[in-house]
Amino acid sequence: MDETLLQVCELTKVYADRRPAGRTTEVRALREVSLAIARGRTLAVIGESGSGKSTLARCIVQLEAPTSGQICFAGTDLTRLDKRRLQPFRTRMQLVLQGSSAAINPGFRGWEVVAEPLRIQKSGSAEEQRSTALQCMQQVGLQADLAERLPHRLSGGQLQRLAIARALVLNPELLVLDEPFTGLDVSIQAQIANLLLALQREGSLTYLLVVHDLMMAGALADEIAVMQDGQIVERGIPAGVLMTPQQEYTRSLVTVARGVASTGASTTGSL
Amino acid sequence: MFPLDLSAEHDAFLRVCGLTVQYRAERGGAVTALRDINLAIREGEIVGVLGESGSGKSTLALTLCRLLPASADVRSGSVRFRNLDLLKASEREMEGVRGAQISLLGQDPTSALNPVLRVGEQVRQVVQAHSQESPMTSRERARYMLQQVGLGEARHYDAYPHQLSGGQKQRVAIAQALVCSPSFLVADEPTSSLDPITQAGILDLLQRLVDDSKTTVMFVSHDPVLVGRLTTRIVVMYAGSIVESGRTSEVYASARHPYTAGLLRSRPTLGHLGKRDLPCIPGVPPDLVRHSAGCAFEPRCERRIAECARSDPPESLNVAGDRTARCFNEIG
Repeated sequence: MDETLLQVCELTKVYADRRPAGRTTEVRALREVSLAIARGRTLAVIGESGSGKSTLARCIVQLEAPTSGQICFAGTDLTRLDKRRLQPFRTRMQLVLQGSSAAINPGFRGWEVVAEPLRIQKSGSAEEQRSTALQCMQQVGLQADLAERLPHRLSGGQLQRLAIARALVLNPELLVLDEPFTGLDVSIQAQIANLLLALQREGSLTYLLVVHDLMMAGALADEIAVMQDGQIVERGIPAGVLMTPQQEYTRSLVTVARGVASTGASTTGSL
Repeated sequence: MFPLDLSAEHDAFLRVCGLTVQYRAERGGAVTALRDINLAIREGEIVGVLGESGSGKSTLALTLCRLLPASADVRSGSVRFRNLDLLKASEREMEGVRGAQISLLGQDPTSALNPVLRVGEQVRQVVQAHSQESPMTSRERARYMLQQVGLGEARHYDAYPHQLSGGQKQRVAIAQALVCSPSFLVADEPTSSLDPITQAGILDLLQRLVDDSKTTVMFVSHDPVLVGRLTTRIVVMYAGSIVESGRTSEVYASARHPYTAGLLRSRPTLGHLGKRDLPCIPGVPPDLVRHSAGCAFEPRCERRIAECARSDPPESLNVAGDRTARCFNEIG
């Protein structure tokens, strides 16, 4: 049996939505979500806008406090820890966002972006931080001559690689990737997908991949969870979820993805 | 769309000849965003422009609406729309053309809409700008158009943009683009900011509206799947040039240019389950400031031969005369 790295039990997140009239309504972004990921595996979470995917990602990496439920990382329930005891766990999981240009300091050079987490964690001397950052950049396929560039002189794909390098620099066990392909060109999406696969093969990284492209989820994941209105309505291996969906909602997602994909797929001979 | 057939004046609805557009860059440099573009679009067809970032596809879309920014220079070429030379028309003539005869639908409805005006009023203003109708009549037309895009309730007309979802805002933008019944719609990545279900709904809507009204469409996208679904003909762009063109079904069935073939393979399908590497095009698109001789795709091309780095490949026509490819070493 594979070791469970992340286990989420009955996670609920309620936001208060304050209306101008003084009325307060509740938005239940997550309703008793439970999931588990074994070390070295990938769980893809799919669903349309507003289904709660990003809230789930932010709760797991401790950027949001859940209303109730547990998040167990390597056997420890993170929701019970105070700030100080939570600190060591923060480096063990990292978040990679979509549209990385907004998440990268425009005044930092490439290597400084990657080295920042080391600086914050006071890990090693300045020289060691720089060389670790350069190593990480190489690992994600960024050539050495990009290390001194400012972000505005990097392409979208290079920025996403930089964001992945920054996430890797603290040697985390879990990467939470929230729509890492959105806004990238199709050929660059394939390159980033292959990079994620290669990094996982080399370093036994565990991924929680939030993605709205079902076919990308199928290509990268060991298991897919389908979210609707804050709940996981279906889960299973990619072949099961994508070929024989059980829920009406999943069927509609798959129909859209296959309907859209059928033109390209049937004519390029890859189906 | 007959990319090379420049002589046949009769059935071209829109004709672009030898169009080269540059952007002024830092230190006196120039970025050549479009390089000698030739294409013709027939009335009533939906033509796809498939290309990635930096391919020049958005510059082409903006040129056809004559909305290029001040930093852009048209170096050569002409754009003929019906009997009007779009690049020579006065600004006053263009004001009559834009919105009424040629409409642009962009990718970001949030920035396209005025945040402090009700959306119904924003559709009505397009009608008002192009006709002498009374406010009452123009309001009726705006209301009717919103109904056509699925926003028929009174609360939709009176909503502010922030009260609508991304998909609803894009529906408003479609209503604005089509309310004056333009004969030509330029849609530049109109669904790229939307999730797949919303995206499918918008594409279905767009297809239905243009089919009903026989609007000619240029659909610009980086996504081969969307272009394949919507269009009958296609031009594939890379680094400012058209590298391949033809009927969409034929290009997708047997791409002749290695870039097209690579791009079509890059999108995962149900055939890619199981965490195996995706087929992908290595490398990055070229820096358009430093153009050297030879095919722009050569450094990334698996089929390159010595000639590719030395000189620009010519545009070749297939036997039937309806497909082109710009490659020394075509597939097939």
